[in-house]
Amino acid sequence: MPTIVSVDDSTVPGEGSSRLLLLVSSDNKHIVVEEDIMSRSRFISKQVEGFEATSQRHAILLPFSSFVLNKVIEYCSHYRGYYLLEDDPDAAPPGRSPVREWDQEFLDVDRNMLLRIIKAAHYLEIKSLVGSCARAIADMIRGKTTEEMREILGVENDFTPEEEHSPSSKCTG
Amino acid sequence: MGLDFPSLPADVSVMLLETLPGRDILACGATCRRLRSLVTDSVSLQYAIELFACGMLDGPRGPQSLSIPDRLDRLRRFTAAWEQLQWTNRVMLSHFVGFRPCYDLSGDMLALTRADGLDLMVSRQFSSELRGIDEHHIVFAVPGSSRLSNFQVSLDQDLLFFKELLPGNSLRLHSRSLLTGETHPLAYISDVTNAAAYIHDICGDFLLETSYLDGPALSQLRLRNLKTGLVSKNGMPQDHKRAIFLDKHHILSVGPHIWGLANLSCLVLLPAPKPTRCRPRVAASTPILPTV
Repeated sequence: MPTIVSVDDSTVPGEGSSRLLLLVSSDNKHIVVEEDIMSRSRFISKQVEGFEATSQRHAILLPFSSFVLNKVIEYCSHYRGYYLLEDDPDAAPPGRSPVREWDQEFLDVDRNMLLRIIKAAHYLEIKSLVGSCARAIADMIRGKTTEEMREILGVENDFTPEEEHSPSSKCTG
Repeated sequence: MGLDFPSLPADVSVMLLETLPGRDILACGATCRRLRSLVTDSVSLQYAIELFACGMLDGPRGPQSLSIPDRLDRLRRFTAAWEQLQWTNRVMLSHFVGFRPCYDLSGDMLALTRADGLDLMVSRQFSSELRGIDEHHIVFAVPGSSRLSNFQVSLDQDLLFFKELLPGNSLRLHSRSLLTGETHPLAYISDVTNAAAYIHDICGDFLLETSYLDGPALSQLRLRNLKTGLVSKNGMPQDHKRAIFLDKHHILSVGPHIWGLANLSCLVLLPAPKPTRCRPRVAASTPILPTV
């Protein structure tokens, strides 16, 4: 949980139905965004409910950089007002359905960035974005050998020689 | 540069791997200790791997359907059962005394006819715990049951198809409903043909007939629509004797042995034959099965 910094009500002006939120990134950039853009994020929605309960509005501190945050806001603005099935709390995981075309272009970034976006989306509880990123990463390793996967996923082979040949599933043994 | 995948939260990693085929999940589980334990500990990933290992596909998932742990459990019991097949206790079919088995039929169906010339026939569905099917059987009258052979069953169409040898080297084709024993309401063919070395096979709407007469020129292959009677294909590779359906689009035909080796050829039906219908199509809402 980020620490919640109290700010003056004047920094977050309410403007009719579409109120503004102040988000603060880890590199201490202040980003003002309309509340209903970010309503896709369960995390932000819960914060806003908290504001309503206490009738006090705060800046929301987020543990990732403004670069990533802007990317997430871009995603949320694009789908503003759209219903996405994956965001439904009861929806099944996306499974093997293809990534939406716009998301594919949106996620055409380097691996490091993709990882940061998925972590931010997970933190903000945006299920549709987590799903799209996950499928984008899955597509990178689909059909690859174990050695290629290590390279792509950035993991080291830390098995002892015996372990390496024991199966990771009962049914292959 | 790598992704630094281990820094992802476990539930996200699992969700990511769930979108991959079983083969890739296995490969991924072999990359490092952390990913191996992730794969081993996740029920849904184990389920995906086991499905892959036994070449199955997952069924539909809805609010009413089985949960993943239940599916995994059932799948494991299923594969374990295949590994240690055992004879079940013998079940006496007491009220079928006097019947002789004619043919084993697909999908747990067995058809029996009376050996003593009484014109009765039994079709019997064995129970299956796994598929939730209860055992049931029906007895129905077929004239000349001792002359019946070449049983074909199509469970999804409730169709039992067989031939009856008639005196004078001819035969009649029968199509019955498995549930009632009545003549099948949709299958149209019930004609008399020349019986010489005649064999048939059905697949979907289609009846594949072959008859092999002594001269190679006389062997015949004919593909007909069961429901309309339309012939959509005639002819056979030279010298071939027999043909069966492999699936909807492939017919396997068997020719004479060459140098002691079986001579098979596969006829591919592409696109799937779609004969025009001579009867109006049955509306989707019309019940196909007669009420039992």
